Amino acid sequence: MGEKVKKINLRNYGVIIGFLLLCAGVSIASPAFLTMRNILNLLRQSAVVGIISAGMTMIIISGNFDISVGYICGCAGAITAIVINKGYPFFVMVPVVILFGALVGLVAGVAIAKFAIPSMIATLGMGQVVKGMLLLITGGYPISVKDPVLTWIGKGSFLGIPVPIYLFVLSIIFVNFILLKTVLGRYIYSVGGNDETSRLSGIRVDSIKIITFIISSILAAISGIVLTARVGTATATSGEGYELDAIAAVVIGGTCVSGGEGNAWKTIIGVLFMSVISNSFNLLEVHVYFQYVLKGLIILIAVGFDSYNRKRANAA
Amino acid sequence: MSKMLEMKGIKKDFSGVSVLNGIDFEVEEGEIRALLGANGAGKSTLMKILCGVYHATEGEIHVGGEKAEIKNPLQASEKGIAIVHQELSMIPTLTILDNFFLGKETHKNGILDKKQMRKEYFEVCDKLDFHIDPDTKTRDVSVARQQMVEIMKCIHANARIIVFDEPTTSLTDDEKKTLFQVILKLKEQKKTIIYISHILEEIFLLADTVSIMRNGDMVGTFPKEELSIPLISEHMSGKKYVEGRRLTSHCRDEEKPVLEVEHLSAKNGTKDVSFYIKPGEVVGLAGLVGAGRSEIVRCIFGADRKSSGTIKVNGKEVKISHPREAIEAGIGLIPEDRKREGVILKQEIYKNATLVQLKKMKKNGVLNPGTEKEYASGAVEKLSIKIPSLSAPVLKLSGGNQQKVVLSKWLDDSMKVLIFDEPTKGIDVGAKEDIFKTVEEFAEKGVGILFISSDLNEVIRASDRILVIRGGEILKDMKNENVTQKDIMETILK
Repeated sequence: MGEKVKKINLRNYGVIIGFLLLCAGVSIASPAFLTMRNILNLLRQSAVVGIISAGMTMIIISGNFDISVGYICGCAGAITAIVINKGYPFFVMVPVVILFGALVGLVAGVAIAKFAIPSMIATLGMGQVVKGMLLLITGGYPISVKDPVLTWIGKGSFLGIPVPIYLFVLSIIFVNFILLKTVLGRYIYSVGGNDETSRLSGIRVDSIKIITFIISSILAAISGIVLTARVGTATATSGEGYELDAIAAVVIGGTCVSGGEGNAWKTIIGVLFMSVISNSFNLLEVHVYFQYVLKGLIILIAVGFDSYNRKRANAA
Repeated sequence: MSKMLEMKGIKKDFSGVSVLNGIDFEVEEGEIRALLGANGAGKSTLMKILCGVYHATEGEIHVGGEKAEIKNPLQASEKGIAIVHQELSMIPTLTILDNFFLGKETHKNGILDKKQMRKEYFEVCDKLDFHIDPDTKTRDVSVARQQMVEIMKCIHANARIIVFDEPTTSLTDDEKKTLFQVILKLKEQKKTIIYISHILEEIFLLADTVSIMRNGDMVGTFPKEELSIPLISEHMSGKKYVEGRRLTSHCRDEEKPVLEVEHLSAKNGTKDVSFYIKPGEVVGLAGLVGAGRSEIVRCIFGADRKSSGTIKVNGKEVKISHPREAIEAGIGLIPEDRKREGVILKQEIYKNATLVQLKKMKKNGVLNPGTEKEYASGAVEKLSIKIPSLSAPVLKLSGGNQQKVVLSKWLDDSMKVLIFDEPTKGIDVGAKEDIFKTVEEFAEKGVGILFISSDLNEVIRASDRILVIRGGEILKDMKNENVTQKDIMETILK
């Protein structure tokens, strides 16, 4: 038993050591890596997936997956642009986007909790619905948008640090506050750890699942605001694939896919890990096609390590 | 006739606890032998050793006069030993033919030889005079016919010894008759049959001889003509265990009932169950495995949906459709399956302990780890739970200590009724005593207790009153005054 604890600890360090080695390697290979400009740029770019990953951490701890968040991000980005372009101020747009996220999360959550659809399938369907909505409201064309607050959110800095990074960090703090400090958070761990025990302990498991999906979807919607703000344009393909980056970030961070364990601090490392990989590919001019292959392999290795350890622990 | 099976001096320990104390068991070729015993007598363990699922700590097995090494199910099958399980082990989405050959498919270079398989299948069909379409999906075939396929598999594997583990539990009367004819046909073909059942009628109808086990010992083997129901229940329960009630009664008989259940029925098999519990009273539910005891309490607790009936706590009707509502009404459950329903294995001990009471552990809307750990360490002390630290995961604890963690969830003054469903299953003697002590302490405070155990001795030990359950119904409500295991067993077997 003691051995197992050691192994898990080693694994946590493993991620950090791996991350540091990666950074060291990249900085030797490309002097441009360790410049302030590149690092701030890298962090700014990681913020959108970072905010999604914060929500994904909760989802995975509750024992589920959500593969609709990329589309939610994209669609929320388009809603951002459309509402602002209609002349409404920033502070009207934000509640609209949050409401959108909440509704999507509610539908997915009800499908999963009340109709017992596996979360992977329910959010697969939900993702398609949202993607369709995105195409419908944009007509497939990019929508550019200009708003002083939005521009500050996407491109501004505070105390020399880009605003999106604050939002990323805030979302991580928010998620960890819920997970570690509130009754709801404890119930999320419990449901992910063993939903039957939770139910027999008087927890309304269905409600917990639904609330988790609502929170995660709201965070994904907020990331859409940041995305549109940063790029200045909402497109019909914005956000696609972010759900996979987010799942990879959470799992590489060390939150276990079977649920009941992990936290959002770990997810930060996972997000940075993924960003540094992408960033280094660009700096080292790795061909885009090849980037996919490498990134996929890295995810397989990281998750494979996690699952293999668990399998061995269970067999023992 | 020659001896087909000899098991000699079979002993089995599970982590130091002896469950078989040197069993001798011999069966002749072409004999139908019934194997009887109360819950926990060791008959399943003995059969699992025969079939290679468990390995005996000591002792040897001879099959057909030769010493047999049986270390896994495959070796058992090679020696000609087969079992027809109580719960069928077929894959519902595959066809009968697919299931028949599962894992033993005939093939040429990886390509299934369906023609050959069909030929073999129909050969076995002819031998037993069965007609089951090999191409139907298994889930579309009745349980009885699936069982026939299992029997055909035994024949196909050239089994010499066939074990039937409570084969009639889910069969209709007609299907039972067909099964008995098949078993008699197997006997004609010189197969050796070991037949496990609780239903004595079947045994009198079918068996040549009856072996009775009790608490890990073989009581003896008798020709069925020498046996009668009272004699069997005496052998199954034994005389040395008439120790009676040992916990002090705290039943407040003069007060109004704390729990009243009226005409409770549910799809899970619960049939028109009515009873009450007085404050401080311990009511035991006695019955064999599968009698429907857990199902009854799951309805009361809202874990299973009831279809009709009312539940009153302190005279007031309560609506319970979710465990949350049961808990709010003051009803708690220590569930049967500790690992699946009682604890969250990888979560910290203190978090498991506070799960039910979590909403009381807040300070300014935020969880207060101080309050949580205070509650948990109070529970650890009160229940003498042995733990490495409050933050260790529950999976590091022994079964007894895990069970105490489950108990610790309910140490709250607002509880009025506590249901203990098999609280002593798989735990050591010391922990058992602690659990009985806790039951008594709860009763002393006026909590009404519903106590389930498959060990009748424990039910007798703890209860003020005993309800005998079979098939989801209450057969008898008896005051625990000099009740013996034999009395209960006779009620069940009647």
